Amino acid sequence: MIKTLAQKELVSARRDKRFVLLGAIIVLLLAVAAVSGVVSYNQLSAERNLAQHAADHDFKSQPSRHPHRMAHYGSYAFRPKSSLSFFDFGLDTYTGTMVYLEAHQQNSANFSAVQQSGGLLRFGEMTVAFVLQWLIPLLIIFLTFNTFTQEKEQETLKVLLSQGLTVAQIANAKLQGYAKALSLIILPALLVASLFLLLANGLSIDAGFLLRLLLFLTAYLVYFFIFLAGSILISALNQHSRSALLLLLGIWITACVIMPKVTANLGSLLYQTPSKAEMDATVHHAASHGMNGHDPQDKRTAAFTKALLAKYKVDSVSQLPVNVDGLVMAEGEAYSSKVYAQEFDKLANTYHQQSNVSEWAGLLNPYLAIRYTSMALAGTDAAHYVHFLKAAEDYRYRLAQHLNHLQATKLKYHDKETRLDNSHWKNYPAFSYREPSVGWALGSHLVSVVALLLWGGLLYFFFTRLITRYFTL
Amino acid sequence: MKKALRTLLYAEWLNFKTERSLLLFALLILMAGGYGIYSGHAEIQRQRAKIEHLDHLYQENIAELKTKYADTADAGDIGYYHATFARHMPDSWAALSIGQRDANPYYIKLRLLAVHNQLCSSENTNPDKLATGSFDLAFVLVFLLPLFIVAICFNLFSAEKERGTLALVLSQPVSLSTFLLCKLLFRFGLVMLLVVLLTAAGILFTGAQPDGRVWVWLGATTLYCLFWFGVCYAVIVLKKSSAFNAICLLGVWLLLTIILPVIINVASQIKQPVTEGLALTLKQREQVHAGWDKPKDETFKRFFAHYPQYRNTSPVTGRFAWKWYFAFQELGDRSVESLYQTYLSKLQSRADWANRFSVVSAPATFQVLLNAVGGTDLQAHLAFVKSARQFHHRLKAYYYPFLFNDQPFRHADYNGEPRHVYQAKPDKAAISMALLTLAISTAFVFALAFVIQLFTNPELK
Repeated sequence: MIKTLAQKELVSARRDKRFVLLGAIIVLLLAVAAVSGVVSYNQLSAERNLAQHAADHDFKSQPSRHPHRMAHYGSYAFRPKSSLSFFDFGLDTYTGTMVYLEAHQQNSANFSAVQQSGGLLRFGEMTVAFVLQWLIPLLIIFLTFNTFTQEKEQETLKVLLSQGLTVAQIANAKLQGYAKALSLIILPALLVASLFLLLANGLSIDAGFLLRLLLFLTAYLVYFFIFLAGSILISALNQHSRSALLLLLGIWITACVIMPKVTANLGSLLYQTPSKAEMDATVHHAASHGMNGHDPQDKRTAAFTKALLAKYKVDSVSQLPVNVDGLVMAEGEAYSSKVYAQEFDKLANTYHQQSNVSEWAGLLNPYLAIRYTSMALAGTDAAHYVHFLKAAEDYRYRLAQHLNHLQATKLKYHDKETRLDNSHWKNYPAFSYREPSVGWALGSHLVSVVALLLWGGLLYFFFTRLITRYFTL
Repeated sequence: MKKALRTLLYAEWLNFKTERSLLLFALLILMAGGYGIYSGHAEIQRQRAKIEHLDHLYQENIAELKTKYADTADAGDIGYYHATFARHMPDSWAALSIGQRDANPYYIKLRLLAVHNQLCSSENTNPDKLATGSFDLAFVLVFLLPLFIVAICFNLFSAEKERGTLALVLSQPVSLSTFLLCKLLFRFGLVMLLVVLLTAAGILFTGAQPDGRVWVWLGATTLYCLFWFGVCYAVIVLKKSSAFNAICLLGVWLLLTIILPVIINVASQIKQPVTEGLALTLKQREQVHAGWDKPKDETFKRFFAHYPQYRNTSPVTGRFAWKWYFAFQELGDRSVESLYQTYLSKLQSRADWANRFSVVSAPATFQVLLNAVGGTDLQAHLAFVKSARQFHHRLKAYYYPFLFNDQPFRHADYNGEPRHVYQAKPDKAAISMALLTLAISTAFVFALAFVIQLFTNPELK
């Protein structure tokens, strides 16, 4: 009997012109999102790979130079697009794509897409994630808002109940039927989108990537289930189609349009970030006066030099077997980088606190929960961005110290003339960025993952109970 | 007829007082607007405070240099270690429509070095916040006001039918179209009241200059509301069920406020990619650093072609001199100048392209207009960058005589250094263009509604 009922919902959904039309629109939009996603993914990837190769090539082909000149010549880190980013651009449009890495200072990541676009960009982006997060819930609402109310209004529900069926059974049948109807649209669309992704990825599939993709799809299935069960629930507990629809649309608007803006703004009102100029000044001040304020740079240098003289048992720096210039510079770089790392961690932490307001709001709003989970899996969230910036800074630091080391060991004291040959740059490994693991990605968004599972779990276990208890004809 | 109109409007007023949902929606939009005004104001105040704080950093830097170079200094050392700022002050209307001001840097730290990379540097901003966008008054007007209009209009006709009161209404000596128009008129009045209230509150709270822009703002918002009332009317006269109307109107909202702008933007980025930024920064590094290896004579020869007034100054004989260093910094700038101009013009033409196509979406046009009023669009930022560029020229004009005439830089000379503040301005051309487009869109929707009424419901006449 339940099977028959489920079958009935499936058949009537397929015959419903509304469903067919909306489904077609959604599939079309998914196709547009997938195609434009692939095109811009390829465009941006190619642009960045090319630039990274050009920058690396320039570095490796530098002629004979003084090592400190090379430290100022520096290097570049371009942020590679993560392979899943074509599903969910996440914050990629709003983050810098390139960092110039040079000695003594940490530069900002520049050339984010948002800085290079007009105001239209702020309306949103056409990505697979947009369709999945915004439009499919709307499709679910349109499809199911009157599934109970219409039967109440037409009094067919009474007939069903008089057959000895319980409301819970009917509700479960409806859930199954609509789930099947929806999967007719969603599953092929996701399959095709995944195929696109694999093609764009050059068919190079590794386990981490597959795991991310699989979890990505699963998370969305949970998200759709939340809306499907919630929508049927609201239809069951309302007397009129009109009120059920208005309530559901109100929820959708609040969840997808209003609340995310409110929580994001609240976060930035509550926690304030220092400007880049302010942060640079703080780093500079701490580096020159000492982190404790009583340990100025010249005093540190003097102490360091004195210790060095004592270690090698000589009287003057010119008698040292190593070049003190390079060592002092290395010492300075180590100190200022430590200060910078501290300030950067503070900044990243402030970002985290700001976004945390929205993440915790995910416990109330499944849209926010899927938004962060999806970005994390696609590798396009703030945590991945910070991870990249840290990798770039790490590379910058190592490069600067490598060059300081060359100066300390291959050049004499106060030697500004000697040039080291090209082999010193040619063999230095170029910047290459490795994406962190899935576990790490989800670990930084535990709240969202838990919120999503909680919503899914609660609706799964209490769906029939809630309907049985609160249902009225 | 007039009496009937008055009676109907009065009936609507009584209805409004008792119908809680209408009142609730009105309160919600007022609250959202209030929060929008507050949060926009807070954001712009924070930017102002940060810009003001720059002065402190500037003075701190000078104090440090005065200690480091106790007597006089080589101007080259100052040019290298001293940083000043180009500031982009918000317009007094910026808080009402933040636009791109949160995404673009509102100050640029400048040293005497090669300028292009400095112009492209960015500010500490939380990308998550940027992606979600600002909750300013413009957001409430562009996105939420249409939803409010839809919420109070979608069932004007259908509700009477579904409640069974339609027959009663039709038995009265008023035509159905008068009846509907009255209801719409009442709601339009209510919406305009809210709009005027919010605008006045916004202007008073944020301290926006009450100049001619008040009328532009109100006029554009009125047109935008009329547009959405037109859309609602076009759907209402189809005489379908409330549920159909709600779905249909939400669909139109989604299409116009999200899907079309998004597609236009994607198309503009795919059609007009801007790769010059990355190329520019790589090339500038090559050109500037090549300066170290080129013979000094050659560098000076190229440099003096632009600055003949320094041709007969003392020659550089040693390994290093600041004037030589800054000469090749400037030559590095000049070698990427054309690339930089291409970069700027491509940014401009991509934004223009997107704006041109935003004709199809009244919300996009309206947003463009509000950003232009607040001086917060991409154009405003590009104008600021241009002015920062000129400021860098003024800095060079100030420092070069010290460098090339071998004048010592005294403590008093810090005071003579040029300063920079750029005041954002409303974008008048964009405003008139968007206003015109909005008027045409509204007229188009009304024509469409009229045609629909004519063909589907001649009996409404």
